Amino acid sequence: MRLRDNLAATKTSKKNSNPWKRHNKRGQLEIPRYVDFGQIQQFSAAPAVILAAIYDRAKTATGCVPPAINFTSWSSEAFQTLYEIGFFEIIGHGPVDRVQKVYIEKRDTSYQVSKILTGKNADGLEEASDIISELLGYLSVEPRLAEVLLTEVNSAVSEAMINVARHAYPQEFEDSSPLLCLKKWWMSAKADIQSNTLTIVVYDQGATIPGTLPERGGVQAVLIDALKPYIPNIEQRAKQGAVDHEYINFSMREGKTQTKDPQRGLGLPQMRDLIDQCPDGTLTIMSRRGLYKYAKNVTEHKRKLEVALEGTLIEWELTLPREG
Amino acid sequence: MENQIMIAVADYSKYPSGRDDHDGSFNGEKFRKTILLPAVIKAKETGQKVTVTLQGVLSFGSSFLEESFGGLVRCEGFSAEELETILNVDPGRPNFSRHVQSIWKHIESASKA
Repeated sequence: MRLRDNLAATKTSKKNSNPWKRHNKRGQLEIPRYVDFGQIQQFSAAPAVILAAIYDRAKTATGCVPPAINFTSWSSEAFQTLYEIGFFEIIGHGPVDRVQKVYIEKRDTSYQVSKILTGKNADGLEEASDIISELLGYLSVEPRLAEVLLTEVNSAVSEAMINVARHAYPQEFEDSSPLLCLKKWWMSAKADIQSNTLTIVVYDQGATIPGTLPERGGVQAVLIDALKPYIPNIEQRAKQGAVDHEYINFSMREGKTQTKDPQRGLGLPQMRDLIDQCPDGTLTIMSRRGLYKYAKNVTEHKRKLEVALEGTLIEWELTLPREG
Repeated sequence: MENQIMIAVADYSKYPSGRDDHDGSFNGEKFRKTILLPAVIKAKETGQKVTVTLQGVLSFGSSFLEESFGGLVRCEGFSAEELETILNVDPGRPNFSRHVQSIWKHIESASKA
């Protein structure tokens, strides 16, 4: 069962009815629905952000805490990432002694994950900047380079936040979605000393790039015409999400956006600029069934995802120069 | 310098971003209307120059830059040629030069639209 369905957070979820716990016939407390993280060995920032967002929505929809069970049996990485991202606080457990004790026992000091931030527009940028600044310090990046990098990261992240504010949650999407729309973004970042990388993730649960781009500005007609010679039954396949990656790729070109105004559509290309301004790195965008990847000095890569992602995930992985 | 009107974007915000209030509090439209436009109008009337410095700014989102500077052409009716005579953009640090170039590119694009 998909996590999203398991943690059903629909608009009709009853607040404070606590769907996560119930008493069986013998009066014992049962948890009818939960997700077992015990099988997860590796846990990067991106899935942690998505997971935190799902739990955040579930908690908001029901007013109750979804269960997180047997966390002592989780892998160290999964536990540490979720702890540092603030997962236990999101779901309402708080940094209580028992959780904190496990964290201290399992902690690997070679990486650090920032606490998750959420917001509805770019008003969260200063706080995001503080997080990035702290992680650059954690990686011992030379101060002058750190300031340059910080400015570049802020510029790209601000455009991601604005994209969420402007495009991610159109009214028709909110009206038609059975799930609760929190209409916000979630952001976290991870610094890894061993690989000397800084990874930044911004995620939203919105209508997706392929879900919004084709409807406006004549984009669908242009794209389908261009792809017709190469992809049989393009119209049909487009409806099934088979060309979602092409929509993302299209949106990465300057001036390609939901409107026909030439001054619009600058935000997504600027997300790629961050990679160009850094010594090395990759930008990955996943939206519905599309994946777009841009690596510095390497050709762009795009493909269809086997499973559709709810919303849009943007991840920058920056490889930083080592001192000396 | 009497012949110059100085504007430090960082005094408005170190984290300016977005086009309007929907995008965030320190957006391009607000910067243009409350700070940049009055200075440019005054400079036009008095023959002064407006120098905008980017020193200390920690975010250069294209939405903010376009709305602020491209907006002088799109929304306020200035021509690119006029702005070239009135406006001077100081990067504040060498690696901000590309943001100065972006500003002029936005002004040029707006005048062609």
